[in-house]
Amino acid sequence: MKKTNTINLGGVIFHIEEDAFTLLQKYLSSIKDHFSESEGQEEIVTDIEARIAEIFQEKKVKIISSDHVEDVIKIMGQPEEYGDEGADDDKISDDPSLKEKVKRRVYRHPTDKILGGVCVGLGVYFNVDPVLFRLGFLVSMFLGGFGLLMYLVLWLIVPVADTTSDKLKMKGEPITADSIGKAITAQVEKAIDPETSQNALKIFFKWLGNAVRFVFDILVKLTKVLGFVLKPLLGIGFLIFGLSVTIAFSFLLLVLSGTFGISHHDFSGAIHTLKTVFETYPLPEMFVLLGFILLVGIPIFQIIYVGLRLLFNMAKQPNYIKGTLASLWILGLISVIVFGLYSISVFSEDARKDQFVELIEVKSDTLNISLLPHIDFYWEDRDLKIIDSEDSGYTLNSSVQLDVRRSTDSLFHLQIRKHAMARSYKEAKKYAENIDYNYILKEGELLLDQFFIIPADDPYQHQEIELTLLIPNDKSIYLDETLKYFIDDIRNVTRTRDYKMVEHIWQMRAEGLTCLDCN
Amino acid sequence: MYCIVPVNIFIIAIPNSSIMLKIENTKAQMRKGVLEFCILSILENGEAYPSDILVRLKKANLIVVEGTLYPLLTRLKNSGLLTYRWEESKSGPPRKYYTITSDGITFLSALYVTWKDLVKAVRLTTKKI
Repeated sequence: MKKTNTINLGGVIFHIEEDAFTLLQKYLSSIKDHFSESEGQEEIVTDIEARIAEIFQEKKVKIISSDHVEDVIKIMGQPEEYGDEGADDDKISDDPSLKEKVKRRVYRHPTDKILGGVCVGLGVYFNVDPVLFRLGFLVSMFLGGFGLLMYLVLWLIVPVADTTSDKLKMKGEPITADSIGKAITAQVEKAIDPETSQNALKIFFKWLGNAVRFVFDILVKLTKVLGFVLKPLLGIGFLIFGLSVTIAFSFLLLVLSGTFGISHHDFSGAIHTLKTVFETYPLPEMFVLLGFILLVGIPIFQIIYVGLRLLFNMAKQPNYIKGTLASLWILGLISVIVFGLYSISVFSEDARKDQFVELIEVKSDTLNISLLPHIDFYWEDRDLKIIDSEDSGYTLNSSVQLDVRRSTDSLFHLQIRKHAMARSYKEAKKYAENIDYNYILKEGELLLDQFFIIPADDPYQHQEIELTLLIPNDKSIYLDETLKYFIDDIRNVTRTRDYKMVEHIWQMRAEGLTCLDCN
Repeated sequence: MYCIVPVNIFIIAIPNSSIMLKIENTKAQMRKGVLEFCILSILENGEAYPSDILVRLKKANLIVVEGTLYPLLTRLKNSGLLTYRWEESKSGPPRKYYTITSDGITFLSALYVTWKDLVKAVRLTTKKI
């Protein structure tokens, strides 16, 4: 038993079975869609309807079944076929897939879906049960939420298989009149009997999908309402953020490019490092700067753009602009990464050279330690400072620190450890050996230079000096005020901080360095 | 006036499917141009309704699926080369009887000249030396 409908086809009344009706309707609407841009759309469809009616009458069909409809579709052909033979020229180029070999493509399934149709689409593409993908996504959601993100991304970027051609492409089947007809028929059958291929797992996923969709819908509605209020606020936020980052970034660039002079201490380490790298870097400085500007500037630009869009309802960026910006950003990223790797290589090897001096001259029990004054260096300011003294052919560098430890014998010792970094160990060693450090030892007084000197030809290779003063047991030192920022983490019994250790006398006892005149 | 079907000139053994696709495409293009010419020629002999035209075209192997005809007729009619009148039918839906207009006849004679030139050109260029 089958339900039939009555239809008026081209002015003639027919009885038609329900599945046949759906099939015919789908066929006629596919013709209508195909000619949606031609002026004679209605007329063409009416004429074709009339012809179909005529064919049915010629065959003396009483009740139209889906077999009849399939025959008629075979006779009349799919609208895609007319395009080649009849319609306007541009119609032919409209769908290149008709002429090219069909490649399987991932689509989201519009009807079999639970949530977005991603899993069914993947299942069809890889020819496996979509339940596998569903389980995979579900499980991965509990493993750090990676699957959720993945699903959302796929949902966004994978297109829906809207037309029958898309659905065929999804399976990698050729698009012909025959295959389209078959696909449509299959769809209709499925529409009529949707209960096929139902099982417990599928029902569970369907239920889950409905629940998720329900929450999603509420969220979307809520966002819409909130968005109305928040949009301008968010826009202003984006704008302020983008603009302030721009200002900060331009300031940084100005500093790095040396506009404010190299004496700007906070950045002098970075500036000198860059200077050394650029001395041997094969590409011009501008190139790296440009890459850096692209890398940082493009995201800032996009943030400002989004801010403006939220505020003023501006048009969306066309795809070619987005694409160009994205490629430029990647270029910038590559340029910066290459430069970064090169920079690391320039300072990859670390070498040091130790020099030990016995301070035999010290006869008193307490050794006074202070810094030698210098016209260009100040003890209050211990940031990296590098000065060229052209007349003497030397460069003065302030990276000197002092530590204090226990001596193994009864003498004061001064250990001068010279550091340098370079591309090779040999080079680094050479730079370390080139470092020269001076101090003055008088009776009971050690005067340390605030800087070391290197030949003016030597680039900045992170040269450093670590001084270690070794104190014999029961002897003491007096730390002058000038050492406040010169000493580095000196271990002592009271755990007194460096800056509080100065202007006191410290004695090396069995338990460690002890303050003799602190309260 | 006869319709010479140009497709018959090309009988080639086709080895692979991509060439097959190209051939199909070229054939379709050729047919498309000739089809209008043939429809107008058929109607020059007197009015006809689509099913008549279909019978003639199918016999000449010019069309594969019937749906092709309808958009063509509509286009020719919209360009003023054809008109139609309705006629009641005893056995089925009312029929559209198409006739060629004077514009259509002018158009057709221009096409005829072109066609003769083309046939000559094809004969000359495809002749085996």
